[in-house]
Amino acid sequence: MVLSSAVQAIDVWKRYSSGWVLRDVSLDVRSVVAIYGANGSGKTTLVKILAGLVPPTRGEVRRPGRVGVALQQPMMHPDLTVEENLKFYAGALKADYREVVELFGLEKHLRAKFSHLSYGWRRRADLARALLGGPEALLLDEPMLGLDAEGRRAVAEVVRRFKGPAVVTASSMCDYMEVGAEAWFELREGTLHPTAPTCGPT
Amino acid sequence: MRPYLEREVKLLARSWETLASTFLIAAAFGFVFDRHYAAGLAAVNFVAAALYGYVQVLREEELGTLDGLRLLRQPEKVAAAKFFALFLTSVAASFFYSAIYYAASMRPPELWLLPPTSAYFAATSTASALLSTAAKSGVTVSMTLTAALVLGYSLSLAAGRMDLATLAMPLTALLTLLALSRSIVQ
Repeated sequence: MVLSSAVQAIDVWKRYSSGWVLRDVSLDVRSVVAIYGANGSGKTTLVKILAGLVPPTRGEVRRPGRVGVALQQPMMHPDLTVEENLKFYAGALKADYREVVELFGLEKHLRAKFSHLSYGWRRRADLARALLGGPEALLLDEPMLGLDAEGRRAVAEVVRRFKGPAVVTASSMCDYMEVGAEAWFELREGTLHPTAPTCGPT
Repeated sequence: MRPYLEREVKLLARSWETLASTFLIAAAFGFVFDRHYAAGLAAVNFVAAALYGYVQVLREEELGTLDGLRLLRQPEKVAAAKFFALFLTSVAASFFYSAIYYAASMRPPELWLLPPTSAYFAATSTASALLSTAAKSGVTVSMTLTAALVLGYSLSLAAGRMDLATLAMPLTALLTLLALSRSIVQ
């Protein structure tokens, strides 16, 4: 796979008032990379830093111009319907939202207020939002959390087919074996360690 | 710009509880300030702008939806649309207040004061709320900032000293908001 863009973290450190969350994290993402880590290991912070939503305390991040980001907390407004949310983002990005609606099977939920959807459907709708406008890179924070089997298949399919750098975080490796990651890392005590994907009793 | 404006207006229409409380407060002020239109106008605009500063900006930060807007990398449009929604609310509340004031006092309201006052309060409240999110603080900091920024204008308004310098404040506040938006939305 030949890629023109990459997501790069260079010696990234992050400190909150509670202490260091990330220590000297360096990543050069040119294909799909999965980052595994326990709760509170800093995965969400790393994704937010890569997305440019949180500044690193030290270090540098480089990313393409248009990045699709889905965090665990959806970015679609709860007071608007799914269609109103998607229409807004599609309008702002000058994109068409029908393709992502079909991709995530959202047709039946378009008129529903976002806050009235179940957690799983909210995640699906928010992932659809992240894919609007053909992003050059994807940053997905535990995208399969709360999804049923069909939703997980849809996410795995999207990530596998994505022709660009993608970071997918996971707190359980088993859900993510299908995303076709070319590299796996474990985020432990704020530092990244290359690891091999395993799924089964530990 | 259109998608941003549509989104803000839809969100405004959905927060009918806040709209209802704003209009009730505006009605009460219409009776309370039946001897001093300008002072009541300042009070109505402060309530409306502060309430909607919370609904349109601070609540969005709490919900995490402001992150979605940040990712679009068009902070001027976000700031302008949010200002527009706050301005719309402040103008509507001010008109309602003016009608009640007229009914209670039988004195004609000085309606020419309404557009600059609503514009100024909307711009300062939007800027305060966005600055407050950038500073990772909450509604108290936003209200304190708004109160500090509107004090001079309110005193001039209540004292009937609407000179050129005071009348220029809404435009300068709006331009400052747009100029700062790149730093405070992202």
